[in-house]
Amino acid sequence: MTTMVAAPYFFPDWDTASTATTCLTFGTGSDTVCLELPVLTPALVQTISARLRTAQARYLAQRPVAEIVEVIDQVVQLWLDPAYPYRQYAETVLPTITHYAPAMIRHGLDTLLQAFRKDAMWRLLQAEFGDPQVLDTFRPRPHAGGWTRAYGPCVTTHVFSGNVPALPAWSLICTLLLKSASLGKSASEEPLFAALFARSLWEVCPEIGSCLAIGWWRGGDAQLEAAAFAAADAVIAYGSETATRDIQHRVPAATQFLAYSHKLSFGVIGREYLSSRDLAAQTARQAAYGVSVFDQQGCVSPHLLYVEQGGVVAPRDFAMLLAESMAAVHAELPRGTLPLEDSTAIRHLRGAYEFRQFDDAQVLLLCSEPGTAWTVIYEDVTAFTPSCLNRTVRVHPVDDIMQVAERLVPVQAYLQTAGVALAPARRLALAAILGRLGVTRISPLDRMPWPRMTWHHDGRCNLLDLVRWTDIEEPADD
Amino acid sequence: MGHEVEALDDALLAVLQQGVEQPLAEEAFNTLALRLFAYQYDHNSPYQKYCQRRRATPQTVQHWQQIPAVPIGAFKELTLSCIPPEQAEAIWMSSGTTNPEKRSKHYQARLAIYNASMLPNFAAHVLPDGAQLPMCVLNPPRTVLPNSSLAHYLHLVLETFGAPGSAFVLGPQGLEIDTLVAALQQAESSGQPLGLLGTSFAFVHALDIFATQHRKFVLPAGSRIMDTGGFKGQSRELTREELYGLFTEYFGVPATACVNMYGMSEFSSQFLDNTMRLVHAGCQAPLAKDNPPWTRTLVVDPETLTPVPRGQRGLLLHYDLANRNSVVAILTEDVGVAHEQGFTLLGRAQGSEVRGCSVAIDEMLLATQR
Repeated sequence: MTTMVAAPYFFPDWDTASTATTCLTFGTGSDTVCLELPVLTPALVQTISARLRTAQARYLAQRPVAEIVEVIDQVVQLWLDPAYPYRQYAETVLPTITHYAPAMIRHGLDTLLQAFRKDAMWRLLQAEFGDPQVLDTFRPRPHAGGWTRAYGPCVTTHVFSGNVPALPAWSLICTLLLKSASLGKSASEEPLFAALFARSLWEVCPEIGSCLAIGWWRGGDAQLEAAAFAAADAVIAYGSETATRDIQHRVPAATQFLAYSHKLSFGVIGREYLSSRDLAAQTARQAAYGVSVFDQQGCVSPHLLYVEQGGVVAPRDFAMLLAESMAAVHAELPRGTLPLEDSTAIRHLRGAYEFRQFDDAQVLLLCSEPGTAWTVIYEDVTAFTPSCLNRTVRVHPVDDIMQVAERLVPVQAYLQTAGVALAPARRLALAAILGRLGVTRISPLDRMPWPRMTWHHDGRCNLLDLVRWTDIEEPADD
Repeated sequence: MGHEVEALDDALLAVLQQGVEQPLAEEAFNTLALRLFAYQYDHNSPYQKYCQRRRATPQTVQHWQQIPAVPIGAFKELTLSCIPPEQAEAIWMSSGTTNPEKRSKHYQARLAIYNASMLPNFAAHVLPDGAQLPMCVLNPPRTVLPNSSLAHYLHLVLETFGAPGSAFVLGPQGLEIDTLVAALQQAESSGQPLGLLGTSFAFVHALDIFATQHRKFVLPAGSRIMDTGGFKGQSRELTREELYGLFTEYFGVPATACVNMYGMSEFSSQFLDNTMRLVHAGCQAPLAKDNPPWTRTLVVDPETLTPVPRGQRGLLLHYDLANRNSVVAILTEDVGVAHEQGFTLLGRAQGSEVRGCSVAIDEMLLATQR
């Protein structure tokens, strides 16, 4: 049994000692992690939210955004240090909690947190506000004239998802930049990271830290969520479409609501990147990396790859190169251990395709043996079949890459990231088609797992969508 | 029919005809399993390819556990038959409704084998006392669903064991509730125990109707119920405890006289609860599904396909010697736990496609109610 070194919740100014607790247990046998969490009640949620509101007015609202950026950057730097105790604790227990391999956790924490450094935060602020000081004071309003100031929510309730550890940090950082206090509901699948992150922020700066609270309850608990949503000015929810839609119905109409639900991402490889075996192999490595990061659990992870005919390397041969690269990535960043249901899904998918390829020369199944670490299926079909994930990827040939649009129409509503390997002119031409369909991000294949902080997440502004503006109109004779 | 397969069938039928009371010695099971494997390897070319990719041939396979197991979904992909499909005496099709094009097909070369497997197994688990009962079948007759293994199964049960007064109470028009009520009332007034057989979901429909009518029955002692199939993907899901609680409440049949049958169109044998058998024998043992002697079940880790330690959850891999014409070893999508005797079925691995006989029947019932 792994001993607990840091509480998987964070409530400043509240001694939870006398509160009943519940235990979330992860792993099996000797590899077990037990997270003991206080049982929240609607009254407690109200009290916590009220304290957050007070703390926000006293501390966060008074701080210039530049200082907030500095504090967050210090926290992120601590987390980037492999010797930082919270990070070491996270690295020890997250593999058991999340099923990700230790190497994947380390790589994931490094790369994700690196994206939240000071320069990235400033870029985000500048990209969305132009003049970030509008968050601190009234500023002259270019073009429009007069003065203006932006106010974020005082308190935001976040409902986190558990698919990618460290992702809750993104949500918390965004609202901190808007000077909002945060009540975070951590995910049952991974309740730890958000609490550790909040705790380290509090240790770096107790005043700003006191504007954060992270707890857990079973998602969908109507009474607790009614209290948590009523006490917030904004609610940000991550999760399945069903879950986020359900939350939306329960958020008061006057409260801002942002949902990030399940999305489908895919890759597109043009013949110009298949013009030599070396280039094709390099492209395959990038695609394999994009598929493998976080075992394909991110909404940014590709479910399938469209590969264009007419290059020196045919799509079917590309699938073989991809398989080699999947094996290479697995050697470096091993796939995690899967729950029974997930390995079963891969087993049965493989079973079907293994037999299908006996009858159909157009089908090729390439996979790891003896385990289910990675699976590549080459198949000449037009349907968009979502992957069962955990490094299972389909490769579909297309005559002309511009034809992918018609294949994407049935899943249009869910499209998100397209990882592309195309020459600039064709990339722009395809982007115009994909953008019209609803794709919100076009990136290189190997950057798919790592969106920039400045990305219009699912097509929206990360900060602007949450602010309210106050304008001062100057008298006519001024 | 060639001499080889005739001899094989004779050996197989001899095992089946010994019934379920005598265990089949490990060596006898192994010998017959390996003979069947060699036959299937030689006469089923996709299976042969599948085995060759795993370097498993009749020369290398020495033990039944080494026989390559086919994932159950393969029955949807291609013909797994040792005889030309058109020569099959019956084709069992799955009732998978997500994609009607992709229904699994199981070719039965000789129904005599299927029947020889199912009849003694049914009798031992549902009629261990040798009772002769009228039976009400909440499922359509075979003529309505010619490709349903369950329709064949229940039809044969009714033909073989059903006392006068037995009837099908689910026809093309849906549940024939008046006929069912008449049979239940007849049993109540005459004191003659009744057998009720059908899909779990057909029972739920009947129970729903009786609940709205505030109608309950107290069937005479000795009455019994066999249900089959689960609820996954249905509008309503009941646990076993809930369903058997309703059986007691509405039919007066205690859980000790209720047996769940676990069967799939891809197999030629079924696995039934040990409940009534134990009661009859006066033994106590944990509730489990029994393996008839000509079957074995391994509970495996889907990652490694090797058995998990006893008591741990895993995927059920069944070896069914009565699957003479297809493949002996099939990896299911069902999760279970192994016991010293038999196994517990915990349900389908989540995320796998909805299947099972209950679904089609439920849809038919819903369609006729509209």
